[in-house]
Amino acid sequence: MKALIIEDDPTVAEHIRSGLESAGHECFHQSDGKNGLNRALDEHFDLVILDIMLPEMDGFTVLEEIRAVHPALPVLLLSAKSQVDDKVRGLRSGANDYLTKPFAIEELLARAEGLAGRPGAASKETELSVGDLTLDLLRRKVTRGETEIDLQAKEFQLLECLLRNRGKVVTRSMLLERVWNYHFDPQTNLIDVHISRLRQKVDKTFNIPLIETVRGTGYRISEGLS
Amino acid sequence: MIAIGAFTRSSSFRVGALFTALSSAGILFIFYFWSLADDDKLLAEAHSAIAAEKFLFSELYRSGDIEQTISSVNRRVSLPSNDTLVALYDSNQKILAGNLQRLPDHDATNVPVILSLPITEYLSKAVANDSYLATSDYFLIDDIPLGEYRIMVARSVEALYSTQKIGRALGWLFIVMLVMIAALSFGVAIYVVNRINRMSRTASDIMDTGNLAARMEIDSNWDDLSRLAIVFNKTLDKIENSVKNIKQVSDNIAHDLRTPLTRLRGKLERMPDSELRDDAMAEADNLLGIFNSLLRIADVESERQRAGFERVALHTVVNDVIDLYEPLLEDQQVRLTTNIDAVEIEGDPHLLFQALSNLVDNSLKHAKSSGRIEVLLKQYGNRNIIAIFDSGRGLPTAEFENLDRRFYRAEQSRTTPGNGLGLSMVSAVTSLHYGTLWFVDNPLCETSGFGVVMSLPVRSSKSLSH
Repeated sequence: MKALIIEDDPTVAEHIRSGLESAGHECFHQSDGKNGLNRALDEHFDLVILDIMLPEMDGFTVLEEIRAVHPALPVLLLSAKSQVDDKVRGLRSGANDYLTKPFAIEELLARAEGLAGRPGAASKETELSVGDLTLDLLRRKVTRGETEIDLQAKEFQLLECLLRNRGKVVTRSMLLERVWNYHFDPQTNLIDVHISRLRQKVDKTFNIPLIETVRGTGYRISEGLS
Repeated sequence: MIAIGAFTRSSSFRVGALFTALSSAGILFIFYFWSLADDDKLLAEAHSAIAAEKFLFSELYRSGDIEQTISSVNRRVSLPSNDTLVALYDSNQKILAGNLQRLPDHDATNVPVILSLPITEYLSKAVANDSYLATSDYFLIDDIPLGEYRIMVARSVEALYSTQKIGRALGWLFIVMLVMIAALSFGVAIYVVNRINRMSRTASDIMDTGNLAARMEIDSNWDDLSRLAIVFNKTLDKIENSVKNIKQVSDNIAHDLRTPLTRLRGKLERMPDSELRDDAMAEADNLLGIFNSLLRIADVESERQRAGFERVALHTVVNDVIDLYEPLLEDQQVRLTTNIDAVEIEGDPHLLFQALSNLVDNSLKHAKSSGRIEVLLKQYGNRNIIAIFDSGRGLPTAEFENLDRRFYRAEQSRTTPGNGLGLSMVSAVTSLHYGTLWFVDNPLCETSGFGVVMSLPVRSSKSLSH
């Protein structure tokens, strides 16, 4: 993955760069809005990580300019402010995801990889499968081998979310945002409880565990199973 | 309406009452004066003058004859600056002497007579415009017999009467003025008392709610009360500013500490795997969590988020929270009952979700196993009530007022996980939605318990905050 970081704080930029590079991604850095925009328009990137507070030109403007030329280029917005209206404004003006500083580098990595590898037509699939597990999106049915598994609505959505990001880590707050549609930080191990229920139904009676825990970060369904 | 006690105890009301009392005393005095100055007293002088004339002429007639009396009468009326009408006439009403050519209609009473014709019609030609001075037609007339003749004596009393009339008019004027003063001072007293009461209500509101943004209304700018209000508002500005500054400083500290902490966490991440590393990371995450919560609360309190308000189906938010916590509740064998009406408000769904999940989280933390949690969402009148009741360990009611203070942890909950920011967040979110927060002791009537009630207005408009 080739990523462009537009961020004026050198510490944060270095933090992101080292995180992405240690995961084997290629990284470029620009420290102001104007140069960042030029670079984003001139070269091909798989992902732009964009800070909102920037010198020369703010992040929202940069985002609009990028969108005018590359409607499909994934953009991850960063903000020091945790204001919801910033988040809403960012997502409305075309950002693909939003992250509030400070963040755990795993969170950023998970989101960045999710964005860069997001297949454009994924939403049109009617069936998701991994190993012997099949998710029928139209009939909302889950089967593993020959057995049909009875899942509740939220459990189904959790599984769907994990499957759509197959092979990538999905963090707890990503799950909360995508399954429950709320931006907030839970104080307890809420998501873990939901996952453990899902596991009970999906994994317990079968030999190969499907959902793996990535310590300190989130969950993943491995791609190697298929 | 304010209690009557508050009115009568105020100094301006007392001043007003004093003015009213003084004015009433003045009015009473005037009436007393009038009662003294009746007709008899007023006319006593004129009566005695007429009596003297009568006596003089009857003595003259008795000691002399009619001729002598006639010449005396004529001499009498020709005296300079004479203001008495005299007529000596016989039984045929023929005037023999005096300054009249015609007798006015009169009967011999003590009541003043008003002449039916102008005075010049009565005066004889010889004296008209000459020695007779009075021009009035208001007379006190007396008539006595002198043998077969009669003599009539009349004195003008108009000057006396007009003085009395002027006095009466002035008296009425004075009464009207006094009544006006009384009414005015009463009005002023009520106005001043009302304003002072409004001011004290604003002040006590600020004390009760801690809402430093409230200000006294200034409806004029010429009097001392408005000046007082202006000074008070300026004082509030100063206080609000200092409080804001203090908040700002603490928020800045949180903000500034967050960056090095993030760096520290980044460095920890790169350390080789070990239990120690994980512990240190968990600590760092915990600290970051606290700072994030602090900043988030500060952010909510700044009320900027109202810009992002939208129509929120409150019942959906409540149901989503329950949905999210349902497995945890089941794991802890806590029984959940709900009573949820469909209710919509203007608000921020994410913040409401956060606040409600904090509340459910709290209840769960303090729940005893096989305890009970009840979640209510109801509309009562113009308030939406969200209540979360539990049968947990409960809290002494003395602690209630401290619960929404940042980092406050009641004695009982020191052993449970948490950072003492959960209810601060709930409180901030409630105020953001123009609501109020209540705590209830043992709402489910079990052995112990704790309840939180969020009361949000149905119409949360901007006008409510300013």
